Amino acid sequence: MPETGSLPSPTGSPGPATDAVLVRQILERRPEALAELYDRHAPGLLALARRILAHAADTGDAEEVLQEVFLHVWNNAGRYDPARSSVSTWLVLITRSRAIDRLRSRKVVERVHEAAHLEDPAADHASPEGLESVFLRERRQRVKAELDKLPPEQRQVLEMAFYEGLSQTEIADRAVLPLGTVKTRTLLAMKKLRSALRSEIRELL
Amino acid sequence: MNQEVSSEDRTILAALESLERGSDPLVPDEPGETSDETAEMLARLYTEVLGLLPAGLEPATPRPEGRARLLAAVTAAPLGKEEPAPVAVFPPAMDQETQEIEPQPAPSPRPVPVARPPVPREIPREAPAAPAPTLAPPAGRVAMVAAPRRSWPLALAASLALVLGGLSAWLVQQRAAQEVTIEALRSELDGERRKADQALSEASRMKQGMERMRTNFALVTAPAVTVSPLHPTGGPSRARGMLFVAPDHQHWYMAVHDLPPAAPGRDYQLWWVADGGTFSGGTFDTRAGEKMELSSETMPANTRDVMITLEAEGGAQAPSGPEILRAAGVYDIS
Repeated sequence: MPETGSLPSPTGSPGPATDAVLVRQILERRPEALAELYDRHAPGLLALARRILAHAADTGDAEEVLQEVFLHVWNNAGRYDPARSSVSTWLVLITRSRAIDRLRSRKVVERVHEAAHLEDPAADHASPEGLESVFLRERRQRVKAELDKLPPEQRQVLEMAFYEGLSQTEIADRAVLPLGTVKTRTLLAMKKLRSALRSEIRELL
Repeated sequence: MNQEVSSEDRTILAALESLERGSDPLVPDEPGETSDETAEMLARLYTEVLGLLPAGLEPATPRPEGRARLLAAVTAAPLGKEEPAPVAVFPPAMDQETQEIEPQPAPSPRPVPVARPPVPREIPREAPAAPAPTLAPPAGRVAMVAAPRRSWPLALAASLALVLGGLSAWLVQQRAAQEVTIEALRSELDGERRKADQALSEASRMKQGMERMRTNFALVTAPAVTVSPLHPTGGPSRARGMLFVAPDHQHWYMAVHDLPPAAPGRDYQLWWVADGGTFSGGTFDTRAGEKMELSSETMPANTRDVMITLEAEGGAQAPSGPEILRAAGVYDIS
């Protein structure tokens, strides 16, 4: 993946350090590496946290999740296994897990009802034009396009599983669908995305 | 759902289930029809698909204070919260870009400030060697720091031992000096006690002498007292004496003058000569030039004479030596 960054690699070469190199530098307790990783991924991860916590009244919840994620990375960088996922996916999965944990907490659930009519706080902190790297912008556009291509019923079950943390059975209950139908739609959606996002996935491997 | 579930389907479902558990990215443990490599690759592919899902979201800009707070927290994080960095984090099967850094020598840990103000957006490429303590100091430095921690208790113990030793010696010396003083005071007290005893004894003796003098004075001044002079009976002698007998014929007092001291091995002995025989009145000696006084509350009945002889030391049962003085029949005992 042609990731961008300002930190030099350990050899001192002028090229930007990859995410994997940054994680390794974090293992060496280099805060500047964490800062670089934060600058690269915090906007996307914050968007993810806000998407999951979209109805929470406290807009600071997503920011707190972001703090937790990077503190987790700082303290648990040794747990990252490059054989299992890319760094960006590792960060996404950590963020999703933390955000859904927060969403499930009673405190946040209570706020959901109070804030149901509030505006989407994500709009307040949208990324200014120009700060997003060209690469990330292109990737975002491609992923968004492929997601838009999915049939709505497939996209729905996928987003319910990913952003709301629902199991296949819970999705079936909520959507009033047979469990087999939910699984089929989910599998189809995943296979289509895998095929459509081949180049993006290859960049992550 | 179709009953024939392919390996790919199982991998996708497992990946979704791992999302529900919030666990780490999937690692297939049941490869099924496919080989391990294929199963791992499938799991990896769908994990990445999941990771790409939020890529379609509009990115958001975090608050700058959040970034500063994060960096302040990690720079102030205690060493104990760090987890050891396993070497296997980057196994040989990693991606190409990671592989490239594998043979390169690991950079030495950089000094990490303990606390600093919010980090600016621009990250310095080369952090200057800050004087602040580092999270991972070199081993030599650790040894240099640890050495005083090991030695100061010994130094303290040695100092305390010296102080205690000196104090003990001083206390022993002080005790010895006090014992000497106590012994001197005890001896002085014993001396004073002896003097007091002597004084008491002298006072008692003087009191007895005074009492005897008073008695003798009463005796010699009584109206019915009988007085008989004692004269030398041998050759020429300056010795003389006076006997006073009370009216009860029991109390008597004798004063002898100029009687020379007895020769060595000899004592003077007093004798009462009565109708029933001669009775010893006791032995005595004199000092040259001093008056000798004798007295008693008893004397034999019907005494007619009194004599003093010079006998062997300790006295004799009957007069055997030369007679020195005698008061012969001159006093009336009726």
